[in-house]
Amino acid sequence: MGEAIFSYTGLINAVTSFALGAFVLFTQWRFKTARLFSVFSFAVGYWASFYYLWLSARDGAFALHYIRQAMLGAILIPAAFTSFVFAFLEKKGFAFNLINWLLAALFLSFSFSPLFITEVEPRMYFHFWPVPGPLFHVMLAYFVVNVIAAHTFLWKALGRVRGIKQRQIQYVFLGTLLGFIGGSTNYFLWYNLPIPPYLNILVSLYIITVAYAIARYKLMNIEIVIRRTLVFAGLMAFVFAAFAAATFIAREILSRYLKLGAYGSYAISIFLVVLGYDPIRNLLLNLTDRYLFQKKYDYQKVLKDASRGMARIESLAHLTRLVIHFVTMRIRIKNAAAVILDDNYQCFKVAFARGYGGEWNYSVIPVEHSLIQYLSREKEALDLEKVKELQISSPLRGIRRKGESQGRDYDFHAIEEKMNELQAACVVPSFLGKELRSILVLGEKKSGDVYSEADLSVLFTLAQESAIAIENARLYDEALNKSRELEKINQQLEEASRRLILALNDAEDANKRLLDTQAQLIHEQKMATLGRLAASVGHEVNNPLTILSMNVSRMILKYRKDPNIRVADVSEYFEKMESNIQRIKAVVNTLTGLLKKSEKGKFEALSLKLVIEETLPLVQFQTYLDNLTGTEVEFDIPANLPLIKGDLERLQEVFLNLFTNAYHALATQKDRNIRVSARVDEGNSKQIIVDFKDNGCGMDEETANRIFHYGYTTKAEGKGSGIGLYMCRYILEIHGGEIKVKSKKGEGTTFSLTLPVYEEQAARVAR
Amino acid sequence: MVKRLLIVDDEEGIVEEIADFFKDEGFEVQSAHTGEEAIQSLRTQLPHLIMIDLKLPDMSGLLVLKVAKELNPRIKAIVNTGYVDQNMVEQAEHLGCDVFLHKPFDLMKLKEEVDRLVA
Repeated sequence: MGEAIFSYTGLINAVTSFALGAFVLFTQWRFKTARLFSVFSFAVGYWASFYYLWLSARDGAFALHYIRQAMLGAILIPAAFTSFVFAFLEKKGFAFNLINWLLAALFLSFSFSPLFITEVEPRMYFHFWPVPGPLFHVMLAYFVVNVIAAHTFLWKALGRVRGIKQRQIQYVFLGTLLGFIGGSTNYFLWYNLPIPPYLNILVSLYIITVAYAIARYKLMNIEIVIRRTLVFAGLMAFVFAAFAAATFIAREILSRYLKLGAYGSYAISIFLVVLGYDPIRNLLLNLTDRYLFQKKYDYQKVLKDASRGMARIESLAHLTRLVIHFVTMRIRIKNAAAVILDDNYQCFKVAFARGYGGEWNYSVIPVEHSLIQYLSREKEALDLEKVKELQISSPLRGIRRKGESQGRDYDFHAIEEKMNELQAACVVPSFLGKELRSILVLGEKKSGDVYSEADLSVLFTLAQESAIAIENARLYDEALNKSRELEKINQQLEEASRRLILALNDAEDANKRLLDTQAQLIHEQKMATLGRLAASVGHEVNNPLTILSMNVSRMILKYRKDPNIRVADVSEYFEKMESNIQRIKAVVNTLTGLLKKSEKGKFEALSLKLVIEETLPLVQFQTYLDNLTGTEVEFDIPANLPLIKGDLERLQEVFLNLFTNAYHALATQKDRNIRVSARVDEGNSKQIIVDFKDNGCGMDEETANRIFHYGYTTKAEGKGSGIGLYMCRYILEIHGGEIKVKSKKGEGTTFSLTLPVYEEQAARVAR
Repeated sequence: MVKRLLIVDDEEGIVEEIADFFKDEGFEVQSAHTGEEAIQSLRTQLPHLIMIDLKLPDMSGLLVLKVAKELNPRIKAIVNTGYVDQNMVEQAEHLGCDVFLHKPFDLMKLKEEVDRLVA
């Protein structure tokens, strides 16, 4: 009976070892650690399988063969274990392992010889216990040395590393130590110590602890499979236990009362299996969930709370704060941050962070960054350990995943750097539709524990749930910001319009002042012109008036002397009076004629020739004082010149000024010539150029430059106002034309004026 | 003793009328139409009274006045002009002008002044 129980421990050990080894191998074959671990597991499984067969054997020869087969597995265990530990600790020990494996090979070659196991004999209640040969002791020593050495390495490594690796090592250390201690109980009987291998079942403990480490601390990067493995292993154990129990009951108890036979016990065991399968399976699932995946239980609640809270929040800042607060408190992590896609979709920015020191420097993450690319495409949470593994496992910096036709390249080094910068132990992407919208950055756990697959999966779910809330909040914020911006813009507009109104008022004032000034100027100019006119009129009219008056006086005197005087005697006086009256009339007529024309109004079609010709008499009045008789004025104005558009009075003022200036410039010389020529501008047919040229004294450049300035004059004080040419320029400007001067000292002066062609006529000509 | 007058004016008609009138009144009258002529005349024979139009074709009447007064300050001078410029009046008075007349002037008034000055 006892033998059977122990044989079943072997079976359980075998099943669990093979199962774990196989899963690790199939899912993690890329990793050396995983491959060596599965070698180790297979060795254990091999040993345990034949251990079971050995204890189940009814025949000494079979038992001997099976125990030798079992030893074959046992010989491989130390080398496989030590190699695994070396790989696991990333320790270099090629020579050490080579010698180890060579020794194993040496022992293997002797494992079927009597040097190793001499024979089998009954010991205690075991029918066929092996009797060790001389080599067995050597092998056992080799075994023990290996196990102690490997565990020493593990122990030392424990003090060196932190975080996930430390936890992994702890579990490997503890699990395998328990396993070996359990296994070692097999060897007392070899040396005739009457202790049966009570703790053989502990071998399975290494499997359970390693499985736990896998689930909890990502040893071997397996999560889901482990649950199935454990459930499967448990069920297998149960099935065998059921068989064993049924067989035991049938043989030991029931056979006393009724004859059942082998088939009867099978029937009972099948009945037990059918009866117990589902409850056991549920129990195992529950147990694994509770102890291995306990956090999932908590997280269900966490998720519910979180999503309920998130749905109510409108502001993004508030929401991110809440999420981060929630995460840091519930998961108990040192720091966390929410990184959110920028409004312009160019980069990711930290929206809220918690638990970072004052001097946390991070930069925005551009969308091209490998981290963003990875999260967007792989759509999974990523932790630092995984990044490190991927960095090692994909030397080409590309990973090829099962079910993927093409490898994708990520710069895991850059990802690691960025995560370090963010002080992230793990990052959890959050998607809206297919688009990555935010990333939850999680720092180390306060407990020092690492993020398990379970954590990551829950966080991933949480992140997805939060994505919608975050997006809503983002839109809400956006709308809020927009409305604030609009309000601001509105205010700015109001301010601008207020200022504009002020500016317009100012401009109006300025314009009014300018108009006042201009009016003043025009008045001054008019007064100056009038003054000159008055002077010439004074002479022109006063001289004939004087003669007239004197003639009248003289006639009166003559009449007083001789009242009988005859008209014939004074007809001479009458004739003089008549002629002087005519002179006065002519002057008055000229003046009124000019005045009449200037009253006609503004900007009309004018003949340039007539304008200038009619200005001449005015010029003569003006220059009457200046003794300029004998000045030759030459006109070269084509008869077919287009009409100009202008204000007669103003243009006459211009030409009056030009003539006056010319006369003054000519005053000191005998040969006086003024030439006025006009032509259509070759460059612009809508313009007429008038050249007003005199051969007078001319002027130097400085004077020419200042000649149009207000108040600038070269004339003696009291003679010139300095307004004339300034007004000329002003008048031409209001006509849309311009005036320029070209002069050389001693060689005369040319004023060039441009005046607009009267448009209607221009249009007719063009047609 | 016959009093000599010199009439200086570029206006032929005026010179003629004044000359005729004062000749009839018993004066000896010289006439000039330009500043140059007037100065020539002054140098030939000094008049008792000179009557000058300020506006002459070749020079200002003031210059003629100045020449006359320099030749003999006792020469009486009547200055006239058709265009009143206070500045000119002041200058003329400064140069020793005895009477300033505005054109058109009254012949009787002129006679009065001439009689007063040369009596």
